[in-house]
Amino acid sequence: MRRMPRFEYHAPASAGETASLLSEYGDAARLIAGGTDLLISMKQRLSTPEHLISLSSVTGLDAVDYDEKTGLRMGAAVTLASLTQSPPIKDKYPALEAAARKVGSVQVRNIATLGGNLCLDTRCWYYNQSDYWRQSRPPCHKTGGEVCHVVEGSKRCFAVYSGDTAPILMAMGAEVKLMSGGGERVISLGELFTGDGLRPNAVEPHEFLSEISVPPPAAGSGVAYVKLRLREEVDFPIMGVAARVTMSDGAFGSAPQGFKVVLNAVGSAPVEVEGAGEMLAGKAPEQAALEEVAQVARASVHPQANTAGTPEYRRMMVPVLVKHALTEAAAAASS
Amino acid sequence: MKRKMKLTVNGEEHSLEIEPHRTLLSVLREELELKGAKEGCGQGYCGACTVLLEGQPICSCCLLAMDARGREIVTVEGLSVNGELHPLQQSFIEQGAIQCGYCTPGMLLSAKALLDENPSPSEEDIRSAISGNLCRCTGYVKIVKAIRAAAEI
Ligand SMILES: Cc1cc2nc3c(=O)[nH]c(=O)nc-3n(C[C@H](O)[C@H](O)[C@H](O)COP(=O)(O)OP(=O)(O)OC[C@H]3O[C@@H](n4cnc5c(N)ncnc54)[C@H](O)[C@@H]3O)c2cc1C
Ligand code: SF4
Ligand code: FES
Ligand code: FES
Repeated sequence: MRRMPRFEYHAPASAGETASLLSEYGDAARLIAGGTDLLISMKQRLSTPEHLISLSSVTGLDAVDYDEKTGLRMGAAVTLASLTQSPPIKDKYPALEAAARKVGSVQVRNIATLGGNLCLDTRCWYYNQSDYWRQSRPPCHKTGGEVCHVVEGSKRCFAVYSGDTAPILMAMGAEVKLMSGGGERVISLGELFTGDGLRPNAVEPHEFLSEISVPPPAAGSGVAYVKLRLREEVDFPIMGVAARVTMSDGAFGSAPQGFKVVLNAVGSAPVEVEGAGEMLAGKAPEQAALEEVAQVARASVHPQANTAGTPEYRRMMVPVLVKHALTEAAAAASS
Repeated sequence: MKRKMKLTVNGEEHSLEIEPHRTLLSVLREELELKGAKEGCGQGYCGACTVLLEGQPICSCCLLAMDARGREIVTVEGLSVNGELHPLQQSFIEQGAIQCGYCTPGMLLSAKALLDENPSPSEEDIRSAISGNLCRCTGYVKIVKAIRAAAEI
């Protein structure tokens, strides 16, 4: 049986206790929510924290509330399975339900949390391997070395962020709350991602992600997330695209802010396609308008040979999935 | 440092002292001697370690036993009642849905969770319920058939 490294276990009962444990142990501690990402990386000795702070007993951290004026608020420790069963999410945010359903397998979703999905570590073929496998090569940047096995001579890491709920939440304008002993700060979900393969999110060692909030769905808007994977269950994305559009009288709405296209699993953070709103606003929702955004999206990403699907194939699929996501979002807005 | 904890498995409460780095799978197999749940990949991919937590299938290889404390766990050993096999187990035997048997405990538990929620599933529902369980032998056809036959009982 694959053995786990040893650690001290803490199960704080409140957000306050969690914050004080984090400030006490700092870099020596890691948070564990569902553990579906962290425990595997511990088995592979990619992470060997002295202290694990479990979020499993923190009261209220798995709550989901919806209010027509303020929108949706989800505690970071809500499981992906309970998200997919939550009445306000099924009713008001069906694309979020669908995206959460596309994570891993049934067994994974029953323990995996939303906060863990957003704080998922970046992935790479040369990184997510056992310590035994990794011994055959010098350590790379992400394991404390000075080389990259994917891009020869590179000074940086290209590990891929592939959390499937992030792009759709970004497309819907989500914000996240980070708590610490010193108080709390709220940032947009986009700002949570650093784009650095080594340290993919902006959560400081003394902080934890406590809440994710999403504004109420705007009239006429529709969102969709399209995911490409090898098998329809279990597998991480080869790539994904989330889109939000606003429709008005059968055409795209006139305000560029009503649109967003976010690409997933093609870099170390989800990538927002710049200028998508300007390219789409006021147009007829036909292939020509979608094609322009699709080509800009294709030019904006540079996938590497470190996950399933060759870089060429993934790049080729960017415009295909962008058009697909926009079409689905437009259909959702009109229904 | 060992920690005291309680686990409820197949309706029975166990008081244990374990090191906190133990996964639920290792505690079930090595402390409680319940060898039904298997380790395949140890990484969440194969479903051989599937058990029910509060009635829902989970991978016991990716859950700390400490994080399961106080919650209801069912393993394949908990399916039979007074030595009588569960209808799903009987059906797996009758339909020849078992070859090496390594995936079977996990398959049975994923199937049980499905039938508990949906007593008359479509073939699509069945395939989706076992989509997190790999079988290297059977090709799945007979497993799906066995679950469907058990649902009809
Ligand atoms: C077989 C398999 C398939 C998978 N497929 C997919 C997939 O298709 N798509 C996908 O997106 N993911 C996939 N995953 C990865 C993972 O299961 C999910 O991303 C899951 O949502 C992670 O949540 P968790 O609660 O289990 O995270 P954990 O493992 O508990 O935590 C992950 C990371 O986030 C940190 N963290 C957790 N909660 C917080 C918090 N509140 N504040 C700050 N930091 C926090 C942890 O310290 C850790 O570094 C898969 C995993 C497996 C094992
Ligand atoms: S992209 Fe390069 S540096 Fe980053 S994990 Fe992979 S091999 Fe290591
Ligand atoms: S052993 Fe747990 S999923 Fe494979
Ligand atoms: S019967 Fe051998 S793995 Fe399924």
